Amino acid sequence: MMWQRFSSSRFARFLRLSDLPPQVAATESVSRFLLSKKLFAATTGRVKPAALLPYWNQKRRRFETSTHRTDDLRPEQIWAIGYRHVENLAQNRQIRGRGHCQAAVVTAQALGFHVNGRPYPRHVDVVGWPDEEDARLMRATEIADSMTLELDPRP
Amino acid sequence: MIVLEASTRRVTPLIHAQTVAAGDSARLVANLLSNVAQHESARAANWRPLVRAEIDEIARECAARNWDGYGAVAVSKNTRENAERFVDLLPSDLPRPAAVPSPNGHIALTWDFGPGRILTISVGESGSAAYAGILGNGVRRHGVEPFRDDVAKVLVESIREVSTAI
Repeated sequence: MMWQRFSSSRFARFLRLSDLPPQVAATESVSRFLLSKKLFAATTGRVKPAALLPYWNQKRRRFETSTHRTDDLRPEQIWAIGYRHVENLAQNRQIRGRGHCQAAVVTAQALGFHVNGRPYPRHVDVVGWPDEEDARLMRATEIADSMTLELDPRP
Repeated sequence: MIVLEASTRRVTPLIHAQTVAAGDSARLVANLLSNVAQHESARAANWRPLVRAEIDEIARECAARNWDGYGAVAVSKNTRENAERFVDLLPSDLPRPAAVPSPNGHIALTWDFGPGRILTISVGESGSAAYAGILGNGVRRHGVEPFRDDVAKVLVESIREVSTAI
């Protein structure tokens, strides 16, 4: 009921939710919002591999990295998702930047996407991470190496 | 007379060597090389306190769980100590890494020389180091190595490789 209300809201229209295909296409862009300055190097425009490493979701019994689908959105629309659904200033969670790449970069690492845009619109988890830490680090390194860094445009 | 000669290895630029060369020119060259060696030695040795300071800062800032907003594990005192010990064990002539917190509570050391040349070594509570890198020229390497009193040769070689690849 709440989701139905949300999906017909102005913000949902702003994010063009109804345009999204059910599966992530290889050519789509995905973004990882970065909440620590230590996870990227602003001077070189590089995202650090640690920014892509997954965390263990005990409930779902799997490793996952949280990302968002950003195709057909203008930059201000992409940042709006982060400010509204990822950032929490009361908990000292401030967005510092985002790394983005094509979905194909992720799937080339034998990883997949779990589309779960409810309750967070355009949200998608990167899943299928191996159990071995070094293998996860290798995949995160490959993705980070292909990412483009955008800094939070707010003053 | 002891002079210094340039090594063919980039990462160990100067070594002591014996020679029979004498005269003013030889003495001048020896003095110049000695100055370069002292400068290189100081430069290489200076990054350890800087990286240790980064590690301390990470340990402070990431001491509580969810420091990254995505549910990250807290960085423990043991992890901090292991990361500092690992840094102390690295040969001083290696280039300086950047210390980075990992969502699993580990501290990662990253050597990033641009696209296609990046290596990360991740240290946690266990006294082992997981590593993964794209070392240049299409070479990829990953694995886990224990460390106690020294750092595994494959780790040192990987750092040298990623920093010198063309």
